[in-house]
Order: sequence, then C-alpha cells, then structure tokens
Amino acid sequence: MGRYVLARIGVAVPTLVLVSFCVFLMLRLVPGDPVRLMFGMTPPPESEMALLRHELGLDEPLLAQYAAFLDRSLHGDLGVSYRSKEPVASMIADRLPRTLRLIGLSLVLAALLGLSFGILAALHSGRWPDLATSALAVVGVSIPQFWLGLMLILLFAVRLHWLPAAGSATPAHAVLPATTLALGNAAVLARVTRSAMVEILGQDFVRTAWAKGLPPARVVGVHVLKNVLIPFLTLAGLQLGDLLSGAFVVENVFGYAGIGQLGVYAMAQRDFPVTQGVVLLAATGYVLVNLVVDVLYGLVDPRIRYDA
Amino acid sequence: MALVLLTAAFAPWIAPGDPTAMHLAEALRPPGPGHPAGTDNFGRDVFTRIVQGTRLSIGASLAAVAIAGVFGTALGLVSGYLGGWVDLLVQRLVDLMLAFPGLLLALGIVAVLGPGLANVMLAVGIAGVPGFARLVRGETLAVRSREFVLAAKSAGAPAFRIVLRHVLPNVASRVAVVATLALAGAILATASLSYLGLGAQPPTPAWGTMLADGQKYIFQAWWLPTMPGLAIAVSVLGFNILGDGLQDALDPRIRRLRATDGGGSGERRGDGRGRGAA
Repeated sequence: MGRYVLARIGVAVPTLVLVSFCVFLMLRLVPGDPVRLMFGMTPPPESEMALLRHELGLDEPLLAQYAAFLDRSLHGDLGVSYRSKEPVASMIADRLPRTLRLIGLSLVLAALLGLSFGILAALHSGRWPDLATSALAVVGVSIPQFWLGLMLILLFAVRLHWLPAAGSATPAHAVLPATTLALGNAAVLARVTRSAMVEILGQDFVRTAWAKGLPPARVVGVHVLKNVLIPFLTLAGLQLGDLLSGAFVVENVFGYAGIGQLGVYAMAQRDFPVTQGVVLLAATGYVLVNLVVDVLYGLVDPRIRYDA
Repeated sequence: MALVLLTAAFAPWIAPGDPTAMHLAEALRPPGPGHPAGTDNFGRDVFTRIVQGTRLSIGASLAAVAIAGVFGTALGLVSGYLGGWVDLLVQRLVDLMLAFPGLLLALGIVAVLGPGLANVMLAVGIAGVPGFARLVRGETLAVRSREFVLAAKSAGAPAFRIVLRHVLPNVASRVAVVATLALAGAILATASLSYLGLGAQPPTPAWGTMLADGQKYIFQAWWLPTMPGLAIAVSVLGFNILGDGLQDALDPRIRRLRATDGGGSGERRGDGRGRGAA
C-alpha cells in the first residue's frame, strides 16, 4: 500500500508544479504589459512603470520569475489585487469557507439523492420508477445550472417567498445554491448507482442471500449496497471537481460571496493576481482531491493497487 | 435536435424581425399574441432574439467542438501511433489539462484572451482537446496492432499514410459519437461563459447573455430568464439523447449490455463529454 500511495504522490507532485507554472504563465501570456494592465485606463509616467517593473521582478529571466512566484505562493503571498489593492490571500481566505460550505452541502445532497434514486431505479429495473429516474437523469445533466438556479429563485423566492433570492449572509442563503449545484451531479450519481446495482443484484452471492431467506432490507442494505459504494464513492469524490467549477457559475447566479464569484469578477475586470490566486487554489484543490480519491480507492479495492 | 439545427439554418425566415430593434412602448410584455415569448426591457421580441441567437450559440459551440475534435484527434493519433517519447509528452500535456476541473480551464483561457464570443469559442475548444486526445489515443493503440495496419507497414507505406488511410477511418465513428456528446457540453459551456459576462456582449442575442440580462428583471418578467434557458436545455437534451443513441447503435458491446440490463450509460459519459460540460 505504501508503494501505491508513493506512486500516486509521485504523479500528483509534478502535476502540481506544472499547474503552478501554467497559472504563472497566465499573466505573461496576456497580450500587453502586465504593469500597464495594473493601472487600466490611467497609466502613470513610463519612468514610474519601469521602476515598478523592476520591483516586481518583471525584468528578471522567466524561470527566475517563476521561482519567485512559487516561493511567494508557498508562503501564502499571492500578490495584491490590481483593483482593490487588498492582499489576494486575505480576499480568498475571507470567501473560501463559504465556498467550502456550499460544496460540502451540495456533495451531501447529491450523494443522498443520487443513491436513493439509483437504488429505487435498480430495484424496479425496467419498470416505471426506473424509466422515470433515467429520464430525470438525462434532463438533470442537460439543464444549465445557471438556468436551474434562476428557476429555483422564481419558484422559492419570487412566488413562494420561502427562501432568500440572493446573498450569503445566513445559512438559509446557501440552500438554493447548494440545491442547484447538487441536482446535476445527483443525476450522474443516480445513473452510476443504478447500473452498478443492477449488475450486483444479478450476482451469485446476492442470489444466495435471497435463497437463505434474508429479509430484503438486509440483502440490499448489507450485501448489495456495500459493493455499490465503491464506484459510488469514487465518482462522488471525482465530482468535487465538477462542483468546484459549478460553484463559479452558481455563486454568480445567487450573488453568493465565495471564491467562484470573486474569480469571475476578477476575470471580467482583468484583475490578474486575483484570477491567478483563485485558479491556482481551485486547480491545486482538484489535484489533491483526486489524489485522496485514488488513495481511498486503493484502500477499499486492493485490485487497484496491485495493478498500479 | 433537428429542430435546433433547422432553426439555426433558417433563423432569418422563422423570425424575420431585427433582434436588436427596440420598441420601448412595448417593454416587458408577457408572452401572448404577437410576442410568443414576450418582450424584454427594451421592447425587443424575445422569440426573435432566441431564434436568431440559435445561430450564434450553436455556431460557436460547433466551432468549439471542431477545434477540440481536430486537434484532439490529431494529438491522439500521433501519440497512439508513434508511441515512445511523443506519446509520453502528449500524455503529460493531456494530464496537465485534465488537472483543471471542467469549466475552470475554459475560464482560465478566457481570462488570458479577454472576454468575447470568439475567445469563449476558442477556450471551450481548447478545454475539449484532452478528452478527444485521450479517447483517440486509446482507440489508435487498439488499431495499431491489427493485421491490416501491420500489412500496410510491411508494404512500406509511410506512417502519415497509414494513420490517415487505415487508423483514422477506424476511430472516426467513436470520434463522431463523442463529438455529439461534446457538442451538448460545449453549448452548456459557451452559454455559461456568456452568462458570466465573459462571452458575447449585449445587445448580441446569445442565449447566455440574454439570460444574464433577463435575470435583472426576474421579479417583474419571469419569461426573460425562462425562455432562453429553455432553448439551451432543449438543445443540450437533444444532443445528449442523440449522442447516447449513436453510442448504443455503434457499439455492439453496449447494445448487448442494454439488452440484458435495460439501460444505464451514465459512467460511459466520462470519456469525452466531461470536458467543457458546465
């Protein structure tokens, strides 16, 4: 197992280095001068900009600039916003807990819905609950998240007045964004749960369990579910990436002050330090989550780690 | 799906009006006779804007998938057929691109290129490349050791010719299926980026932009955010169903599975559609 974990880390670390290099290159690839971009429409005299270029190390060789960027990032210094002049790290730290809460809530909701509908469909394979779940799942993956969010606002905020339409002040403000984010992923999880379960329901050990006269709750709850959980958990873990990029859209629909909203605002404003900080954080988080999922997968299914 | 493509092709005949013509006296009219999808805050006919926006939205998504398909397929063919250090290099590149979750890669590219529909198209296209490259590489590896390829090789055919004449036709059907599913993802992604204000700018009638504009009037005019979203959902649903159907029809292994268990194709989604899907 130790070797398997080391091998996975051995893949993740170079990926992280390359990811950070790409994020570093973002600012260098932008057409035009980074210092001029800092000032937007009102650039100061050229001599002042040359001084700033020197202070920021922009006149150094590219690799030296990257080493300095990496060093600063690892020490939590992500630069200063071009627009608000605040440190990027503290802007992100302010908003990150809200995004994590949103993603956590969505993941739990998606897992509960996906598992319940998947089990229901598999137990009634070929009959109407199965067909209805399949249809719902196709619709679920086809509906744009931002539209679903708006429709939920129309129903629950505008018509019924049950929940707030926008903002992030109270826990109630997270309900609609989390539901929006969860539904599409629940659809995918339901399909996977269904097909994994149909396959396992047809296997010999399940037939034996039925033949022994075990109650249905025990057959499904213990024998079947335990085997369904392996593909389910892997996919649920991998979906964290979808939830993360979904948060960029959904936070903007609901005016939810998380890092997704911050990132998109920074992109539209061409505020590169903030954009870089948010993209670096999101991509690093995604690579680390994938690493954890890989390791957990190896733990629950020994075949994986012997193959690797 | 046919409806969506026909609408895109015949948009100026279906809704001949000017999608940007303002009639302030008719602002915020609900759907009814004369305005089947209502009017917006400038009195512009929402139906005309959606129909004419079909060209933009579908066109941009088609272009994005074309970029992803052409470059992804080329990379996959070269990587799978040549193997060795070329394969290693391409696979590292693909892994690197896949290290950014879905839409984030496209968002990052748009951040560099700047907002605009053309840049969104390019960004969604580039973000779709690794999905195609990985799929085609896998298929190429399987075809590479087949007899007809070995025969061509021993007859002295150059690698370029073998890849184009013998390998490509054998991977083309899978690419076509994945392209259909990728188109659904690209429609979602371009609409998402336009919705976020990074794509087409007002008054261009792109679906995502219309939705973002409509959101401001959600309390007075429910149809403004509802109608463009319906257009997106119907298109994406159409291409998803077509893609699933094509996949089932072209892949006998899956058709057999279907016959025995009655459905369930969710997990196959991962192969090409994942990238770019919002």
